[in-house]
Amino acid sequence: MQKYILRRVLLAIPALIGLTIIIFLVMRILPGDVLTVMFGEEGTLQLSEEDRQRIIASLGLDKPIYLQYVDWLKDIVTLKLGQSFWRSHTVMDLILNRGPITLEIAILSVILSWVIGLPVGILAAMKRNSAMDYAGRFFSILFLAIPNFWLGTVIVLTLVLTLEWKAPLGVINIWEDPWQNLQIVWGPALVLGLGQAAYVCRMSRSALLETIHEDYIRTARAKGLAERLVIMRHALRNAIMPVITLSGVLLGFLIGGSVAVEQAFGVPGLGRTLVAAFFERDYVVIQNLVLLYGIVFVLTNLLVDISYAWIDPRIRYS
Amino acid sequence: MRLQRFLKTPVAALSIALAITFLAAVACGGTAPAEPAAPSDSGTGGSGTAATTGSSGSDSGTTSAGSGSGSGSSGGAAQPAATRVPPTPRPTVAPDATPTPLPAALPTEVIANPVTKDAYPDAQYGGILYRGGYFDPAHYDLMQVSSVSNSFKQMMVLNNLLRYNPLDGGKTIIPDIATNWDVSEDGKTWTFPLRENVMFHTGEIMDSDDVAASWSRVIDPPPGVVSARKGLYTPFGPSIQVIDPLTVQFTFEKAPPLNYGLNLFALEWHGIFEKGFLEENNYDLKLKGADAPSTGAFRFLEHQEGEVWKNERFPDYWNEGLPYLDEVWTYPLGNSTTRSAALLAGNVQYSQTIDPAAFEILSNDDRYEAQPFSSYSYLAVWINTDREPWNDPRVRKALWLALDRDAIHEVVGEWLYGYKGGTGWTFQDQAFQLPQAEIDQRMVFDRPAAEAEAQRLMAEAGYADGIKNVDLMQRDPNSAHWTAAAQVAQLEFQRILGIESTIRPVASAVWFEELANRNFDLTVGGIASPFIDPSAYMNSFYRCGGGENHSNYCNPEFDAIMEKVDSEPDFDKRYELVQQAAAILDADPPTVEYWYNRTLGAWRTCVHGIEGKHGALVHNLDRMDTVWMEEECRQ
Repeated sequence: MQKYILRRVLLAIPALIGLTIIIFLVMRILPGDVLTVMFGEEGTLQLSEEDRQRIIASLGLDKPIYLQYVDWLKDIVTLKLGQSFWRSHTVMDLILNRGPITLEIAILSVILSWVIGLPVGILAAMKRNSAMDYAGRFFSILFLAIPNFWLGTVIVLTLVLTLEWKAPLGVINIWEDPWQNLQIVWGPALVLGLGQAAYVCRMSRSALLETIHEDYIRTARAKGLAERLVIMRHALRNAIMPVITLSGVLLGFLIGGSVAVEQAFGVPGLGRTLVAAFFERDYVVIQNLVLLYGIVFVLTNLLVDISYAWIDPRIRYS
Repeated sequence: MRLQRFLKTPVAALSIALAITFLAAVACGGTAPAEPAAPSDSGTGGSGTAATTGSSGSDSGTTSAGSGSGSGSSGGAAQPAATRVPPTPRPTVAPDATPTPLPAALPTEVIANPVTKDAYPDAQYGGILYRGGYFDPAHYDLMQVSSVSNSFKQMMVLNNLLRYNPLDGGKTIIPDIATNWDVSEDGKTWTFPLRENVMFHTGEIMDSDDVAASWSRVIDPPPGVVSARKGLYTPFGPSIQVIDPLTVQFTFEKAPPLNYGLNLFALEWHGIFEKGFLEENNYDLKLKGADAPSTGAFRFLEHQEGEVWKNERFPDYWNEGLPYLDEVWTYPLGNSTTRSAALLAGNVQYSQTIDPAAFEILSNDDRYEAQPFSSYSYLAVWINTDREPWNDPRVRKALWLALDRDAIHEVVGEWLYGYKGGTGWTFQDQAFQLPQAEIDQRMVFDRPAAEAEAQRLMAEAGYADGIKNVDLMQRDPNSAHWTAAAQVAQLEFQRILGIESTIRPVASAVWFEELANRNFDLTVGGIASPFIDPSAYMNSFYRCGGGENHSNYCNPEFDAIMEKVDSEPDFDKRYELVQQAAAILDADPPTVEYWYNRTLGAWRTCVHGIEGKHGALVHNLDRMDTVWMEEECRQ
């Protein structure tokens, strides 16, 4: 197992290096002038060429591209992650401040997706082509189709206009005030969870439908096992694997992909930080956050793989 | 299962991480947030504008308090303020929005500072005011930007020589840390005696060296420091001298008009800082400007990035008894919908730049006061006169006539609040506007006649069959109102004039680059004026070489009249001159102006002292020193 984990980690390194190269280059060719963002349009018009060059140099953008890239790699290796163009905070500060609430939203939404998606998927598979199946498929397609930022905006406005309620502003961590914290995170978690529940529902339904026609299920039934036990002990245990894989992928998505939902709910998590960094052309922040998402994704998938061995005793990594 | 295997591969990891990046880029449009040019909220770079061009609904927010290129000749000596009462303009979206026109000319006599603790006899002290604001600022030097993301949080910690009177919505200019002003007969020398014992937030006492140092970076910034509004001053050749520890004097090579000059010294983007601190930081406050020692009614307390900006009462403020509030917390809520929701839900007691739908709800709710503020931004189709056939006045006039202002106004009004264009080239909520009856009779609103005349002009110019392959650049595709306006313009130009164009949406930051490079045929966008005087905005927008003359329009006849506008002290004569200048623009349009913007603000009725409504630039009224709250408002 250790060898397997080590191999997976080593294999991830080229992928992450590829990611750093691509995001680094993409940021350099993205249109838009960092100085226009810094000084505003009128201010930029006042800049002499000399001033422009001086400021560019102060941001470290005058160096050859490859040197800028090497500098960034050094920052990664030393875990400094660089300094924002605009502020005195390091990127590490940003991640430590904003990361917990984003992580909390992501985990909650995955839990929610299982709580909602799995039972619906199982019922839909067990009662194939019934009203329950049709309803499950309808709602899963509905939540797949609805953009989550739109759903978030609708929820926010509905609560405001009917109950005059909106989550508290700012960041309140769970260890500071769990109740206030829950008020902040439930909305984004619900919206993201519903979207994921649709995936989980469809995946569990199709996997279960595939499994329940296997010979060992027929055998279990022939032995006289109760249908509930057949499903829970035999069919579901095998059908759950792709659902776990999917949830691992979705969790990776969520940690970085809750950008629009965080915007809709006004939650200052990593997603909103990334949006602000794009607005400000803050290359250092963008590069490091994207790299963080890549690392999270790789680690999540590794954990998913390890979990296979725990769920399915036939799987052994060596 | 194949999907399962694929998802575990490094390629999938790479793809998904890039997809996240792409989504984030799409989410922000690859642009800076837009606060429409003072109306829109799009951010440092974005949608959403002291003058923002933005959408009140979108939020990208950048604003601009333009860099106008003022010009002007001999300055006027003191003249009485004009009393003309202009007609009432017609607001387009929300009810109860009839604005009170701003004054034609600001007072030339020094008014004793009315901003004292007795300004509101019933005022209650204490409390924290929670406000819905824009994005986090890109940096902390207010002088080096023109963004509401900075002004909304930082103006309240500053003083300037003069200020806009918050008690009348900025209609008058009053002394701030100067006790008065004295203008020489030739208008070239402006002397400002300073108040005694004005204390910085550090406890040091301010003197004229601090004022001179602070102003030197405005009119003559050192290398690497950008004075965003320097263009307003340079045409007049300013210099500053310290006369004694409590007197500073400005000398101009060319006298600015009095009204214009008063505005120059009242712009609240320019604050007074400790000279020593400025020198230590090479006059550059981008990194350390948040808590730079200044003299305002509030002092910086804390900035939790992405969460809240806190300012607290300065107990040793020179204006004893002010401010009333203990603290002001501003949340960077980004877009207008979020700001509106926070206000409706009671998370904040005051929000600027809310969306029109929320404005309507709040206007009909007794618990809120909702008002439009003047933002002095305008939206238009710019025409690149460097290229053919756009250098032909007949083609430009045809474009100007072809765009149905009622139609575009109806569409854009979904997101913005303001007045339609085609109404005489002056902002409609101030004294230089045309009377409403004249506006109603303008040819541009007689659609059959306007379309027929537009087609005649195109035929006369040799383009009876239209024009093909036209590049119609559109600012900030993330703000729906730009997209809607570009589509209306495209359709109308094609239907009436046979102009076949392709819309090219670009992020706000790119839009300004493309303007500077003159890389467009036509473009839909918006800009703003730093203050309300025609010398500021007409020179900047339309004069040859003007700071925001993005069409690169040059009309010597217009420029000659603006010379007179800049130096004419009499309001009635100046009004006539402005109308003459506007008539030239009517005949030879530099842009197809379709929208004059206002920004919408709302607050709980238990909050008092926000008098910017119907007044001057909202961004010049963010000092908050006269704002107070009733007990019930305190959370």
